[in-house]
Amino acid sequence: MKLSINNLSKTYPNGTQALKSVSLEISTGMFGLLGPNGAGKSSLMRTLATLQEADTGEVTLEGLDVLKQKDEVRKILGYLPQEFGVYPKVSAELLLDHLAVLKGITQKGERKELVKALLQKTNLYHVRKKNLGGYSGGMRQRFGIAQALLSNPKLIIVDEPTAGLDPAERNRFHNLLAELGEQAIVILSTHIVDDVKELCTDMAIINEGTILTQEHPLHAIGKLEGKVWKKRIEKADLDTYKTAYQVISDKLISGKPEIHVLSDVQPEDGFSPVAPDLEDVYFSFIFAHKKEAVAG
Amino acid sequence: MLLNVLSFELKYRATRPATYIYFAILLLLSFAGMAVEDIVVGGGVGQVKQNAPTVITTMTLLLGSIIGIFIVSAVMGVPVLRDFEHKTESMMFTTRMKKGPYLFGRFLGSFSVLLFISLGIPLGLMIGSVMPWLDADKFLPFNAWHFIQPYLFFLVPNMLFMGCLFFSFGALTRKLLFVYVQGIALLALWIVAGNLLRDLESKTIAALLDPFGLRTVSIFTQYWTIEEQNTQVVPLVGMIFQNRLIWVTVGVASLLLTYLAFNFNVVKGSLFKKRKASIRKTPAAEIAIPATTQKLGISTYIKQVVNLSGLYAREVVRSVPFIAITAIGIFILITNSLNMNQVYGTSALPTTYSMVELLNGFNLFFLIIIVFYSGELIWRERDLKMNQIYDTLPVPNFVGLSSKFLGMGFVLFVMLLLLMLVGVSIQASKGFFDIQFGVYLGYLYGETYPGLLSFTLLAFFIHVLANQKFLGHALIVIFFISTLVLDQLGLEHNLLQFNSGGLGRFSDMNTYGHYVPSFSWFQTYWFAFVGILFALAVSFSVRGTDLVLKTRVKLAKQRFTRPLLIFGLSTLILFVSSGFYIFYNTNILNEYRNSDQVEELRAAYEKTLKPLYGDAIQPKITETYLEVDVFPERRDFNTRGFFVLKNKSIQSISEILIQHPSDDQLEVTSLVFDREYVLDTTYEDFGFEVYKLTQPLTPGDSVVMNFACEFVTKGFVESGSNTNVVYNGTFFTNTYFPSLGYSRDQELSRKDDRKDQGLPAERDRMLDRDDPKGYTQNLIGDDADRIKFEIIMSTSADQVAIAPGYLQKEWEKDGRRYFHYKMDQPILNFYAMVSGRYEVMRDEIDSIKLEIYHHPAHTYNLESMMNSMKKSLAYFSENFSPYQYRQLRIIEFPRYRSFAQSFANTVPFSEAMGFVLDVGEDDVDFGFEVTAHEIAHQWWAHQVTEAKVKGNGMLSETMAQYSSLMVLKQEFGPEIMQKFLKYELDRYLSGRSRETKKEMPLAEEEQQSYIRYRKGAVVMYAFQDYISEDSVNIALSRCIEDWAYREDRYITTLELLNYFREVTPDSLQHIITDMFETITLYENRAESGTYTTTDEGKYLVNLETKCQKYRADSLGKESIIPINDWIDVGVYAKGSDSKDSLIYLQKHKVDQEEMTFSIEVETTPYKVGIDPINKLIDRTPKDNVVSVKEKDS
Repeated sequence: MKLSINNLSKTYPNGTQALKSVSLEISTGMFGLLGPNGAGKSSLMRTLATLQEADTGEVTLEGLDVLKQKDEVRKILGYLPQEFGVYPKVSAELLLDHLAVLKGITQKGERKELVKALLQKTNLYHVRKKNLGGYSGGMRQRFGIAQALLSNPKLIIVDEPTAGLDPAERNRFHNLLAELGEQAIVILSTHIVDDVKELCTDMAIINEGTILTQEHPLHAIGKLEGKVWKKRIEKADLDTYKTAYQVISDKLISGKPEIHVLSDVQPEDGFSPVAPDLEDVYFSFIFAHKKEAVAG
Repeated sequence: MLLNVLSFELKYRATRPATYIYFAILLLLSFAGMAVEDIVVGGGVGQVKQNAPTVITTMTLLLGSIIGIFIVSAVMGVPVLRDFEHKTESMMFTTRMKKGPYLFGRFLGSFSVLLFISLGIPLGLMIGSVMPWLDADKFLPFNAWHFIQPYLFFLVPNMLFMGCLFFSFGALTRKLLFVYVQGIALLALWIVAGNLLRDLESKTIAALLDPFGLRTVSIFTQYWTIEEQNTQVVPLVGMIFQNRLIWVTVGVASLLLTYLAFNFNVVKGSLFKKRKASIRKTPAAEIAIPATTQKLGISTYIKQVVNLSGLYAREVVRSVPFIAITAIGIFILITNSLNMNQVYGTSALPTTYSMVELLNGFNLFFLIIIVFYSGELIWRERDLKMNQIYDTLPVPNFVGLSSKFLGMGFVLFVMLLLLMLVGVSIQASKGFFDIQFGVYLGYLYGETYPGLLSFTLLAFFIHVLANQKFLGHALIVIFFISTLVLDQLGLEHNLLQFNSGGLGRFSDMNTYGHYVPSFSWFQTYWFAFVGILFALAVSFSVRGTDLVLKTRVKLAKQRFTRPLLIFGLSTLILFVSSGFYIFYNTNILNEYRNSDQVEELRAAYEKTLKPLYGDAIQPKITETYLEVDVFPERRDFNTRGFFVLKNKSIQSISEILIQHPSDDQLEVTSLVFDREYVLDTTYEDFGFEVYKLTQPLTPGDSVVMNFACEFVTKGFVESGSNTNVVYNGTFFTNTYFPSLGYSRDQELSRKDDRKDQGLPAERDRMLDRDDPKGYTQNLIGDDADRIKFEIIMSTSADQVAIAPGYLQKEWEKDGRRYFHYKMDQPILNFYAMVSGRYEVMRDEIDSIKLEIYHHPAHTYNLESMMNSMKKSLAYFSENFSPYQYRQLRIIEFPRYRSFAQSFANTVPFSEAMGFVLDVGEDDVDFGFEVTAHEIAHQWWAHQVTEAKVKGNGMLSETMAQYSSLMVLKQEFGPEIMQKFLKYELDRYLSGRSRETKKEMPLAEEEQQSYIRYRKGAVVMYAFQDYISEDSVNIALSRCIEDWAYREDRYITTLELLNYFREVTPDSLQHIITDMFETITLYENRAESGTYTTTDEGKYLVNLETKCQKYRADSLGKESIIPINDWIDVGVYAKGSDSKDSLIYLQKHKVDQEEMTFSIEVETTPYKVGIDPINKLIDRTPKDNVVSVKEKDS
């Protein structure tokens, strides 16, 4: 299985260029799409999910033209939108069964088994008779993944799935996704670096509609080896550091900022090297991109 | 604090577009209602000006309450709710703000905004009333107070009441749903209250109970004269004041209650919210997802549609607004059924077709449901934010829309079933079990259902294209308005009027009649139309997140796949071909004219022919021989025959003017005179021909006119199909044969139409009584005086054909039945031909044969009708003169028309009039009354024939009313009579306030039915009460002796009144002037009543009265004249079962406005009154009786 995206562009009627000539190659396994809010993640996801037209470019999936042969794509697609609702007065079991019919699973016995399995898988079996209106955010999210898994999808697209989940739920969710990644292309869009770090074998970073990089997360981390330095500084000095060095991130630790700086050598005294993690990769790209944008 | 909240609310509202949109809506509607002639919002009738204060008040109330109610609900329902909707309540309630300022501040702020919005109404009306294109005749000079007064005294209190109520509801329920529904609910309650109005007794209660004050105003002003309506504002007094006070109090009270009940607390949910149950957790299981087979194809799609439509139907049925609307609708139906089809307080039997007509009252609710839920369903996924999930499912585009349509279709199907159940239950509850399920199915599922489905598809299409819910709703409303506009532009053909072409009326006699083919074609046509729309809707429906029109068009092209293309094309072909077929039937096989064209033709007729032939002297028909073959199964008939035309004038006549019947289906195929002649001129458009006789017809000379004509039914017509010649129950008159001379009846009569066509606006309705041209022709016209009449009618083998005259012979030939009728004495040139399948009830009185030809199933009222025939013939023969024929027949005809008509020895009688009545013990037997009335016409028209001049109706209709009243009195006693007369008085008083030209005195009435029937009945009853029944009958029998069967000259009311004067004592001569020669009204009122017990154990009742007498001029301008009359004073004792018994009724002299009467009675008095049973014409009949109180001595 291989999904190739070639020079995909999209401009919205208000002039926002959501995708700028995006090209990606995605194969079976978990693929993370990382980017800040408004980077174009959802636009890309929606285009892949047949919900949105592209202005130019093409997308193919095993010989299928994703942009044209929508009905064919929909047969093998599982999609969990970033934001979605449910029929409040219908039970999870009933709605899932109903969605299964719409997926084309017409055999009643088969459908029943599938619904039961998915509900158990997503840990909703005990509340299957309950109206969806009474579900908590996490339960609803799990219901969302359950519906995306109906009919053994080959392409699974999940858009910001962990937003609003508590750590335990997020964990469970990750396990489920990881299992799916064994047989299908799973595209996970997120702005949470840990999601990708924990799950993905391949990833891309997107910002302002442009793909900044596509590589294996570990490989990307490897590239930064020995180049990331940290230092705890006074709050008042933050701006000074920011102008002097490539500060890729700053966060408060016990009320004092700790900055990470990208540099081939130790920038100055007090900086100590750190083992880079994916977050540093992410911020380094975003930071570099921002600078570029300012310079350009 | 209060001020802060208030100013915040005002600032918030000032930035909301809705505020201005609402204002604009009211402004525009008000403007249109006033300034656009074709849009009528309770506007003035007849002589009442369009901007008369009463009209403005009614318009203000209608616009402000009926349309405004939704705006009030939207504005006042949300101020508190808004915080809950936007989840800002925790922010609000945790500030230091107190409950009082919060609630009242929000309320006052919103209410101020509401007052601003509702200013749109007076402003719109004001601007509308001064538009330059308006007809100045119909408007009074501008007076701002006439607009401001209703706003201040009527609209503002209404807004306050509704505003308080809706605010309370919104705040307490905290559900947007209730904000949607409460307007409809209040409106429904209002309609229910309106049904109480039909019962005359509860008018005052209905007036007080109307929260909008609309009915209050209409009841308060119901007897206002035109003059009063044009000059006086509706004052804030009496019941109006009470009504306003009551409802403002209710509103304010609800607001205070809200203050007490409102919980200024976040945690506690709304009134109706259930608490959530806690969730039990079980550990996740390691489960493998089983493999499944995905099958996609037609069979799956069908399954999906079934599954989805079930879900949608469930969603609709379970939603609260749906349940509320349905419940309200059914509640209204049931209330309506309580006094369904009443005439004079007597109900018709709850036949199935009357139930179907009742159930049609639900159609408005269907429309609301369809408009509302088609929006909801189209937006279902997007509203729930489930669209992104649904849109990525491997489901073809048509599945979603089809499922929504079928879901809606299923809901409507079940609702119709429910309605049927309601209908059957109502029938059963009234003890009526002749239930025709076929009729229910035929109309509910044959007519209503397809219409609803088409409308649903239309609404879907509009919602899909609009792609914005509110815009969609607005577009649907605009669509309806646009069809009205099309209509006004002359594009009124049914092919252009969405969902046109109904199944017509059901008749037990003629069942669905000939309506089925045209109905089916129109249904096909409209289904094909919405089919096309559906195909478009499928291709344009939004799937995915692209909303730009350009992208949607691009996608639509992509989606127009082969199957959809085939579907679209085949519906298009069906639409075009059925359209052509309909057009072929309505416009090519038959003649089609829109209403403007009809008016133009009639105007051209008058303009062209009147100057040439308007006064031409013509011979008169003296003898008629006809052979009429009716073919009921084809709805055709052929006629051959001759008229003998005699010159009765003193001049020679050389031109005979022939007017062909105006019906397009009828063609005169030959017309030949038995002496030399030429056809001189033909006016093809008018069906008018001028024949020149070579030898003029000298006075006294005759000519025979042989003619033949054919009435042919071809295909079907656009609308107004002929219901006279039908499968069963054909009934037509000699208007289907040629007539002589210029026909004045074809002239346009409405003032506006005449003006539009450039004709003199004023056209006298009738000739004066002393006009010789008038009193030498009878009411039927100047074609004939009396004629010798003979006819041979044939019809199909299973039907009977009937015409005036006695049956000479009856035979069968070639599978058809023939009937030969001949009258042994001259009759008026006015005869009916009837054919149908009948059963006959026969009887006899004084060797007069009595027959009722009726539909076999209609046996309900035959006994009473037969009884009426006997009693009437007996009374009239004894008191007036002998009956002139040996036979009298009543013949039922289908209920397409509802009247009965008296021809010589023959009375066709509509199915709807007396054959299906449910006459209770205390009811006026309407069938009996109508029968008596029609039989009386055998005297009053057929014996004494009146001249065609002013007041002719008093001679025929008023006398027939009097005659039937006397039979009714004899048979049922005076109490039933009083009930009957109460209705008649009410109908007279309201009739005169709706007069379009001018009210005339009874003796000079001009075909005004509220005078000739209604006032006539009331006045004649009082007249016989004053001078005695015997005296009236003596006068009438003298009149008959002098005037019966005359042909030289016809009687007018001038002569009739002389007979009345002869039998009236000098002291009462003035009542003839009051009753017949002028418009005289009373305002009699009982001011107070007391009594004391005398030493002998009797009771001395004291009554204070105020009596005024008015004389009205022709515009209704009334002036007080001195009173000097004998008027009834009555005392009632309390009766056993709510009926009070009259223990004293005597006439007393009333010669002063204010008087006191002392009356001694034996029993404890309960009520006392002046003219207590309303014998006189009283402007306010309700205030004549008061309860008496014991006086402390």
